Amino acid sequence: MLDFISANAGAIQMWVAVACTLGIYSILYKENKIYRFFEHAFIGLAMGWTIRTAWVDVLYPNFYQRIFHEGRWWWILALPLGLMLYLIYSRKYNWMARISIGFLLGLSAGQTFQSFAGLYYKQIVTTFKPIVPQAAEGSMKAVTLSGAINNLIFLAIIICVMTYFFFSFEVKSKVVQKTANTGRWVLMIAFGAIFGSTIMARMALFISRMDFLIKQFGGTFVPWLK
Amino acid sequence: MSILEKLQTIDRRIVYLLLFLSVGLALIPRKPLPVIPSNQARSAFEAIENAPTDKLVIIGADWSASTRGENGAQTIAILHHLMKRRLPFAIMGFDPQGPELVAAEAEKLAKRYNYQYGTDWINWGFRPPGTINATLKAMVRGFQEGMKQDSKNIPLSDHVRLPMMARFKDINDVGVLVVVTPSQTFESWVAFVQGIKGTPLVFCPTAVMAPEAYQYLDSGQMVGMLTGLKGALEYEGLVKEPGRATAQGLALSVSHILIILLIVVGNLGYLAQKRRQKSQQGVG
Repeated sequence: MLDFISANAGAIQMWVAVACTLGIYSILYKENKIYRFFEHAFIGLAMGWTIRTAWVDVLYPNFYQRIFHEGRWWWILALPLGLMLYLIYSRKYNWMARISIGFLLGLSAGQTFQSFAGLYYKQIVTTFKPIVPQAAEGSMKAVTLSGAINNLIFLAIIICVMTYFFFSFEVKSKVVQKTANTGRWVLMIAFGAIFGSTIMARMALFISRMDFLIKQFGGTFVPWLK
Repeated sequence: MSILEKLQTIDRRIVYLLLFLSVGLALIPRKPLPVIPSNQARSAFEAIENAPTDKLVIIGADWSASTRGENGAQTIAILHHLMKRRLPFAIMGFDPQGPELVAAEAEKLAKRYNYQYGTDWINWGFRPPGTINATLKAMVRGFQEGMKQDSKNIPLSDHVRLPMMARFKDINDVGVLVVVTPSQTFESWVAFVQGIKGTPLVFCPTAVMAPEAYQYLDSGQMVGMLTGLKGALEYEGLVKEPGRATAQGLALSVSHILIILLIVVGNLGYLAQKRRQKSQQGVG
């Protein structure tokens, strides 16, 4: 039996993959048990792989090996801090959980601030764009007429969108209302572009499976399909 | 209800069948469509084309089998380019499946380009997503300190089995960062790795994620981007290695045309219904 499996591993792998693909796509017709079976099999496999990888790539080399093979016994002190989080369920000792939570909050807050600075400061700086054509001067790059028009459109859109998000007071001015309305339109166009990209992404995933079914699987029986 | 109005309520199974047939037929022709690479794909290509060969390229593989259709094709196209230029690279990821999937593709191509594990490329393996910021910060200071060992549990300090790690110590030795992900992990790469020394970052998202990344291209925090399968298709053309994406390009275009047609058909039905309601109100 094992010899048969090892001799035909490639073919078995392909047939299993075909069954999984068709089983999952059977939901497109209607809800059924075959779909549910393959869905649960996929979730189980992914979870099993995650547990295996967490042990092989993380826990074993970084904790087990360090503590038990390299003698860094003090690393085990991290364990009580982690276990203290579970004391949140105890009325008497939940103050102990707050120590660990406070530690994690402090760490996360610091990292979030650093992350915000790293992500957005440069973007804020590059928002200030020249809107008048100019020749290169010192560290300033040259701005062509088309570049200046682009920058002007960019600036107008930023102003319109930011005006739309003035929610804290009632807007009575017609000019501000119109600007905010333009901002809303611009946002809708952006959401449309995002939705279009989403469709492209879903189609790409579908095409990938169809490519497997037709070219790789079908091609083994009908060579011109390859 | 007229035929036009019925177009608004086409059974979803008919739509799926149309999609199945149109995509299936479009996959059969072998002649690929001509492709004009976008600016962001060209910039991504130039970043890798101009990367110094004595510097390391880090591939952040934060994707799984569920987005293989897009991220898999992008990764293979990038790997072709890296190996053609004989750029040394390291794979790492914060998705349990990512590094293994990329390493499997790298192993296939390594035979063709005569790439040796440990000398020309290495797989640093998976790290938990909850530790992404801390891991990246540690990695920037030093690969040995941040990563410690590869996916086969060989210590990075073992320069006999991993000779390439004797040449590359920290972020100063990195020429390009390539982040392939369908998730927000790219933000950590930008904030904690790219921003430290201004290392060029090439982003390979799924098409869903791409619109959220344009401001990073505008600010220079990313030098290039491959947008989903379309990006992979453009990159295959630039590297002159037609592969999976090139073969699927026609099917992608056909599926888009079908979706547009269905939107038009649905709206025709809506307009017909509106006209009928208006005329009924007029009679009433």
